[in-house]
Amino acid sequence: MSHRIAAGTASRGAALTTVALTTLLLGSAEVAAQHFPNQTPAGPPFFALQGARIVTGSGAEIENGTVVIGNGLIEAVGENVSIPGDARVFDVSGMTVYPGLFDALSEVGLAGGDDGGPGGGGGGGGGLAALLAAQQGVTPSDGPEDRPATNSWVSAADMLDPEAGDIERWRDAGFTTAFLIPGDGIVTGQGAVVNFGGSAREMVVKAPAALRITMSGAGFRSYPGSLMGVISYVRQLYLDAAHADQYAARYEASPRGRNRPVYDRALGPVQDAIRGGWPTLFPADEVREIRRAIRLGNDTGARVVLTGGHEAYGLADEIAASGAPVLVSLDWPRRNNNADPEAEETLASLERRAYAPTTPARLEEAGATWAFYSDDSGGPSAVMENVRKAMENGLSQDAALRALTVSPARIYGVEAQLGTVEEGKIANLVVADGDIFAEETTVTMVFVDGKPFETGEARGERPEAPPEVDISGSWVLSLNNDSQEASAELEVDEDGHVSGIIVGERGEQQITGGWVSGTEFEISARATVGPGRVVEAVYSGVIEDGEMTGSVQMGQFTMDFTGTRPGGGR
Amino acid sequence: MKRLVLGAIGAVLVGGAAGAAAPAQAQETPVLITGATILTAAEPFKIENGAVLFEDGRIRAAGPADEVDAPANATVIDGQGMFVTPGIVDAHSHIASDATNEGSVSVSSMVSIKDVIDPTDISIYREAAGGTTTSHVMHGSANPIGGQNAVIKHRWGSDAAGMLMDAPPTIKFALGENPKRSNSNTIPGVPQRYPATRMGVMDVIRQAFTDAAEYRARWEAYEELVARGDRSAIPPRRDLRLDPLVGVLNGEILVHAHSYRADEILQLMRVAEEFGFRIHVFQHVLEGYRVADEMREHGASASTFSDWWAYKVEAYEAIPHNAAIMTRRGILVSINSDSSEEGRHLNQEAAKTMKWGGLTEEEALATVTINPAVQLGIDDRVGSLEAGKDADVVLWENYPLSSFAKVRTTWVDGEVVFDVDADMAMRAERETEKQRLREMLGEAESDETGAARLRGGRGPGNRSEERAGI
Repeated sequence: MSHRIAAGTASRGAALTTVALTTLLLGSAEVAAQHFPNQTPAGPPFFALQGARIVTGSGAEIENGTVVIGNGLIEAVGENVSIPGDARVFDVSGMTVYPGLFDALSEVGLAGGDDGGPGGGGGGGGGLAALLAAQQGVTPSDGPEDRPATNSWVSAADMLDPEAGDIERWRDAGFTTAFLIPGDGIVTGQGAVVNFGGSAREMVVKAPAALRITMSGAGFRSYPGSLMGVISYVRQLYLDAAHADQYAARYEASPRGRNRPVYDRALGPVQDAIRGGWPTLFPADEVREIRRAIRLGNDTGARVVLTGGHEAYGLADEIAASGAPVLVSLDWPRRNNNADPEAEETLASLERRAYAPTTPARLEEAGATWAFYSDDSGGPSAVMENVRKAMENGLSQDAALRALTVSPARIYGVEAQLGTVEEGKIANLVVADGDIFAEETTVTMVFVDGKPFETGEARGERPEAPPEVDISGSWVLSLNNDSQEASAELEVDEDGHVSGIIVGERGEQQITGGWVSGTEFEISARATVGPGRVVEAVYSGVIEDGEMTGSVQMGQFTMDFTGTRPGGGR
Repeated sequence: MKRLVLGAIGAVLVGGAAGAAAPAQAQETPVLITGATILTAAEPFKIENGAVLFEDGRIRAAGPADEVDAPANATVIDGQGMFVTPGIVDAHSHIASDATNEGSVSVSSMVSIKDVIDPTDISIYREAAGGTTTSHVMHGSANPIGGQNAVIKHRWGSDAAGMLMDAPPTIKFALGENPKRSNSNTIPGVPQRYPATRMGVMDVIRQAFTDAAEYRARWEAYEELVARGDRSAIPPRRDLRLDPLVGVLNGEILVHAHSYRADEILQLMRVAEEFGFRIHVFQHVLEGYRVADEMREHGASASTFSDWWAYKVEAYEAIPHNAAIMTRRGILVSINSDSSEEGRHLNQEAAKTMKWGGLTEEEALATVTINPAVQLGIDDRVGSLEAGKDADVVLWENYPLSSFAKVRTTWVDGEVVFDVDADMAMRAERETEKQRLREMLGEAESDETGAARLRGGRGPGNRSEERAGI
């Protein structure tokens, strides 16, 4: 479901001029019309953001400037730029414009449904992933020749689901772009840089953009079963790819008298990756994983991108010297909650938790190329919380912004199109009512490929009916059959928007949004559920006879709750 | 002296636990241990009131105390009443690795333990506390032809590359119950891996070397074409499974074969001779005492347990005199651990050969020092206290070949990797550091977070952090 703002009613003179010019250049309007749909994106109208502070990411900030957007691209940025007559102008004075945020590794928007993707090239989204997983379970491999779990032929660009609900959630928080790649297999597939808006076809910025290799073995049932087996297999795969290239060249030069090369859908993309120098993601969270990945890159010629990076704080110089970029997970390490509560945490675990958030600052100091990725960290608000944690540990705000904009763009080779607010780049922009990383800041508008999207707050996603019940004031919440208790202080404005605070056993949950309509309500809050672990909690239910009944969803868990007024109601 | 040792261990503590880069360090100060009884594992074997001097990671001298002069800046350790031996070499270990078996296939020669060394395994330190300074970290015994092994120094605190020793490459073979999967459960619907019998094990090995010989011939043919100037020649596909087997055929990679029964030992030697290579070391080799002459003739040596047997059918016919009998029949014998626990007291395991079978103390100590060093092809570097060798040195309280022995200090390449006093001091340091980190994380034990954690962990229905979080 997309919530694009309807185009303004301003005059369309400039757009007509553009069409006329195109017609002139191409000879006829018909040709232009035929040509148009193949462009990405299909030309939206003109927009201008006026009076904003602009954090361009490519030089000094502009205190009071204007961004002009046209045809999906940034047409002009500056203090004194002229606004086309037909542009829809947004007065964003007091707001700050940032480049759209770029999540350097994600699966949001991938394979949710059975949308086969643009051009019918895909094998059916989630169905495909499930099929692959099932195949790997039942067909044991006897060696590298079976190309075990080598899904290199699977392309994220063919698995996009533009309707995936998560896309909107991330876009609301300012994420306009992500690098998406499937997660299953030893070689998981080809990743794509996609924008969070438009149809599946329009979303793709670059595909293929990278390969991803995991280190997961299959046990005694199927080759490779162990970590060393996987490493050996990856070496063999790269040797085979190089050999296939060499053989194909000789064969093409003179096919007579030679056996034709064997068709191998798993090997082809690896050959492409070697030839094209594709970035290749390797798991590299712990020190020994980081060193193994660098070594494997040296041995195979793969262009290694280190993924994880939580123990990179002690190796920053070594990593910088290797030239391998790092994707730093924004899911900071936590205490093992499944451990015996009597057991004392080891020094190594304490060090990891204490120092992992210093990794970004250390990589920055060492001059390494690195970017942030969301990982499984509990949604956009948790991601921002964890960025702030890195900033508390010495990372500058500029560097944090680069790690979520231009750095991932550079790593995936789309720096010319994305990552900064510069003329000619794709118009992916974020409008916020303050510093993008500040806790109280709200993203009010997002542009993706030059199309404006209202964020959740402004959309006011709630039933139309006015409130019939009063939710404001104090509540005592009893959760999960009375096993836990929380209290809430709520306020509600005349439109039925809810704000306030919920206090649970683990501390305060700041309400980020909510509504009351009729007797129904929904409240979203940011809950801390462990050291450095923030998830979104969504309380929804009805109020009848002055009592709440409903359920709360926190991450993957749901529990029921009831709410009463303190002291037995009123 | 104590302060110096503490400093070194402190560096190791921080480097090792944080996992930060710590390449093998160079020894900073020369060390002289004097007045001790030196057991050299070389000639002469025992030096009463002796001295050992090591500098820059190498042994400079081992001899009578009055004949060894120390440089002025040397740290001098009074070793009176104590014993000095070379660092123990464990010919069969599975510590310090993130994987042991590639069990999915019957020939897993393509994998290497070198790729998966875990330099943070605490067993590296604990075994050093038992005097072990070098270990042969082996692939498991799930396959007739297993993976390539690694030789590491117990340089606690350094990274994987810093621990790996530049030793001749070795490969694991395995015979009997393990490779034929006799003791493993079958999974319904999953075909059992071939082979299932001892005949099958030999067939797998024979087929693999037939393939390897063919592969070698293909490469030789290609190289001949290239040598003749044929620029259109296409090289054969590199096969990481067969490359090491060609290495075995060419005598460049040493075979260490897991074995128990006399019949399978004979079988394997015959198969190897068919293809013109030798089994360098039979591992475990519990029935080696029955075929010692045949092994000697083949050129094999033996690495066995002191007195561990009957844990499965093929281990019923073992005797504790095995090491002594094989030694008397002219076979080079080592005693190995195959266990991170045994690896902490190989001195005692060696001593048992004196009780069972009457080996001399020279012969007994050799089973865990110079003999395994020879079996691993590293006797030019380790295994005895001789000038020029690596300064892998152990200082013992009490006679090492007894159960009263206790390690005071272990050096690897002249650096302290274990010291009993430093270890005691380090425990307090670690507690202080943990407290500092807890405070840094805002989780000092007095903090209510700790109490909340306990509530969350114990309360009914609180199976996860999410549930505990409201």
